[in-house]
Amino acid sequence: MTRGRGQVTPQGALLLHAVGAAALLAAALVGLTVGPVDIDPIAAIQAPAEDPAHVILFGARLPRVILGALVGGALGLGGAGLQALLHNPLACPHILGISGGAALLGILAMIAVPMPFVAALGLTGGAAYAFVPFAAFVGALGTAALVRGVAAGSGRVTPHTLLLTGVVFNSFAAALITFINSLSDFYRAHGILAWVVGTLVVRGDAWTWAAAATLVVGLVLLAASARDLNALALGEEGAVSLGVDVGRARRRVYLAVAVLVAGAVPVSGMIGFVGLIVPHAVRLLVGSDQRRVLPASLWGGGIFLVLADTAARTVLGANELPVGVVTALCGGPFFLFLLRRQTQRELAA
Amino acid sequence: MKGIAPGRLRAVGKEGTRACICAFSCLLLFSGVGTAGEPPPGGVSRVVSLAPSITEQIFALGAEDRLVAVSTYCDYPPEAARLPRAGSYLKPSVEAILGFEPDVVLAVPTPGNRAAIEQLRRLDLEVVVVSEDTFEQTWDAFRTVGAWVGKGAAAEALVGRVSAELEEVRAAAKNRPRRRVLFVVGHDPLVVAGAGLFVDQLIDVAGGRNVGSIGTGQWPRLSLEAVVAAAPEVIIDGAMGTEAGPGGDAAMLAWWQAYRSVPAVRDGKVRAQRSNALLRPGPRLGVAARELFELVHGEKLSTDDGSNSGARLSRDGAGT
Repeated sequence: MTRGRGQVTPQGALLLHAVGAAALLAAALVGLTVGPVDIDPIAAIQAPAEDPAHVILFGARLPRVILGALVGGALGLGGAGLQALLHNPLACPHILGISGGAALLGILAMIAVPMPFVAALGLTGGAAYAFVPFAAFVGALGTAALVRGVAAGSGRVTPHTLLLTGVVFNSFAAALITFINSLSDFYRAHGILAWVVGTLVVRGDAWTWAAAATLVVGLVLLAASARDLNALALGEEGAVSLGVDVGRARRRVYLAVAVLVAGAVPVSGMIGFVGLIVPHAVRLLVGSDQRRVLPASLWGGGIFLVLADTAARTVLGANELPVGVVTALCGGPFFLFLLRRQTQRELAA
Repeated sequence: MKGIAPGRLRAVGKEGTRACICAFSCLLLFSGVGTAGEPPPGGVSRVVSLAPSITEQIFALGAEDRLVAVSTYCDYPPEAARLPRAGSYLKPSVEAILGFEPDVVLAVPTPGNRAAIEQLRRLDLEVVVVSEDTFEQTWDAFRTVGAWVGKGAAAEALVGRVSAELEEVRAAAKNRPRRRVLFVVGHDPLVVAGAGLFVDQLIDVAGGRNVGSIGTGQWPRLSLEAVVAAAPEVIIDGAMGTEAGPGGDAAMLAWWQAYRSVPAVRDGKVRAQRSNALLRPGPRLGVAARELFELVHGEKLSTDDGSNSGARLSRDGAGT
């Protein structure tokens, strides 16, 4: 897997971002061109703003493509960070339960926002929009701490206990969300179930900006951790001997992942497998240096989710498939493949 | 319209999916119905209703004295809300139902109640499942429910009364232009009333054409661009005022503004709907049709008599 290419030069990093951005742009063009309704994109751009084709292109498809790129980027990046931190190819925000915790508190916040007591707290307008991602952030960070704490309860944190605790917590969160769903009315029930499967939801510009802002914060935090993560590839003792503050690195990565998930979950629910698949695909292309893996996972996640969402929008005609179904169909078999490979390696060792 | 190709909606696999979904729902449906015994003459005296529509039927037939428990969603007429509860419409409580010692349990097929119904049947309880997807099935449900509560004649009269109310609305709508109507029940994702459902029939009665029938299934999750292409002239938004999220109705209206090529949005015909009659295949179908008429045409349905006939449940009018 290691394809050492020596130092990552500024030019190299720039090239990687340029290639990633170009590939994402190509995926976005596919997403803008393909959909259940046949439109001529060129004619749609030239058409007046009241023209249906223009509205389909700029009102229906473009916001979804932007959201797909942001959410996919956040999940890909978060997955890459967790896999590097935990030395575990099976780690991702979804499997570790972090998405579940964020979705649970996010949904509670969603339900609470229209209630009078929230208005009484002065949470109106912009503050109300920030409330849901903030609750999701608390849920994500809380889950990360809880899952790690429980897994560490027996002393050493092994990758398997961590994953198992995460999976259990995820089922627990999904059960609570289903419980909330069974208490809510007919109109709201569809929306809550969509959160569990994962659906890109265009709620409005404010939400998209929130997702973009969290993506930037997460990227900055993880980029600052790239060297530490590279050192951690040598194991904790090795990293310490290189002068890495392991505790600080760990806190920073978990914080970054919580921020990323908090931006993604309010507009997409619990989309699985993006954070799992993308870093693997990326490592095959750019090697294992985190300074390349992290930015490449950002672009790769965006590309994967934009294409998956295009399929989800298109394959059933006028009906829509939740994009979480598409990512799970791709990711389920892939997860089993990784698990098998890892088990074989452990047996060989 | 110049950017849209003549084919508009791609037909890719639509027939196939529709056939699949039909076959699947038939399978679900038929495995839930049947095995019900015959009601004794005069009906039975202890009835549990597991659906709001059935509870409304029992009240409309004047047999509420035989109702020992209802589902948690049964809130109409107001008296129904004071009856003991036997679990929700989606998840009935087997233990609670057994505790009421009913002679019969009346239910409709829901995604969550099959296991409970099968368990009750294994315990030798009489469970009657009636389908109410269409008007025709609803009339049969009136008759079945009527037979079990000993109000066969009243049930027949109720069918006649509600059908007549629907015909009244249909007649009034005949002279008005037919509007393309979208009936929304959820925004994220966009869930609407589809074909093959009484809501679809109600839209037709009220003088509309249901845009939601472009999707597959009774409550399709529609793609937004398919809605833009179908260009509904009236949007009835049942999610307004109930959906989670800040901003309330104003935010919903603002959300629709992004799709201003849609005639309903352009002409300010996105209308909130909060009455639960529109979602209940029961004695208030006539009321629902009137409400829809007003929402679709933007004017009150003016008739000399009976303009309020369905607004209150007329129990004596049923002619027992």
